[in-house]
Amino acid sequence: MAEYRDLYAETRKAGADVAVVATDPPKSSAGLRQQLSLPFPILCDSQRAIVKAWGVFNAAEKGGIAIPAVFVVDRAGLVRFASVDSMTARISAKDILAYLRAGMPDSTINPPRTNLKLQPANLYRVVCNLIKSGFRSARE
Amino acid sequence: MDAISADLKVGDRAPNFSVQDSDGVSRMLTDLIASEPRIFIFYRGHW
Repeated sequence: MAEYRDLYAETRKAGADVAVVATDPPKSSAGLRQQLSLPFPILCDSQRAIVKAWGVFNAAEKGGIAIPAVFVVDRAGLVRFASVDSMTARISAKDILAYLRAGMPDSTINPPRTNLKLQPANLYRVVCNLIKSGFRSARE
Repeated sequence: MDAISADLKVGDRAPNFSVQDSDGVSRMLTDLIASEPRIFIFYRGHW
């Protein structure tokens, strides 16, 4: 969150805004927001309505908490980027900023940073690109 | 490490919501994305 705070001005320049979703009681979130001087809102999802609807509800821990995740939602309400992470593989704010600056191209559910090697979809794309470039150079 | 697959995927419509923010201000998805795309960071919680 501090990373998103530090890159907030650049994120705004790239044409996007930020919000945190937390299942904590509103008081905890207010304290956290103040403590970290966050320039963006913390949405209080104490009812777990958002985490459930968005498929990032972890029922197994602490009475139900959010699975760490990052989504980019465009003005039409469509998910343009989704990264749902294990504890150790959260997508960085820098990666998100780079994505915004690239004009929000289509992304995969799991960003390259987490597990490029293991993603059949990514492997497929790499192979397709290889084939395409092979065709191109063969023709020239 | 295992990445957990979300129900909500790229290209899906994000379900609307109406909650309060930490200042007690009512926030709806439709308002939050009205003028610009928005990054939503889901936070595990304070331990």
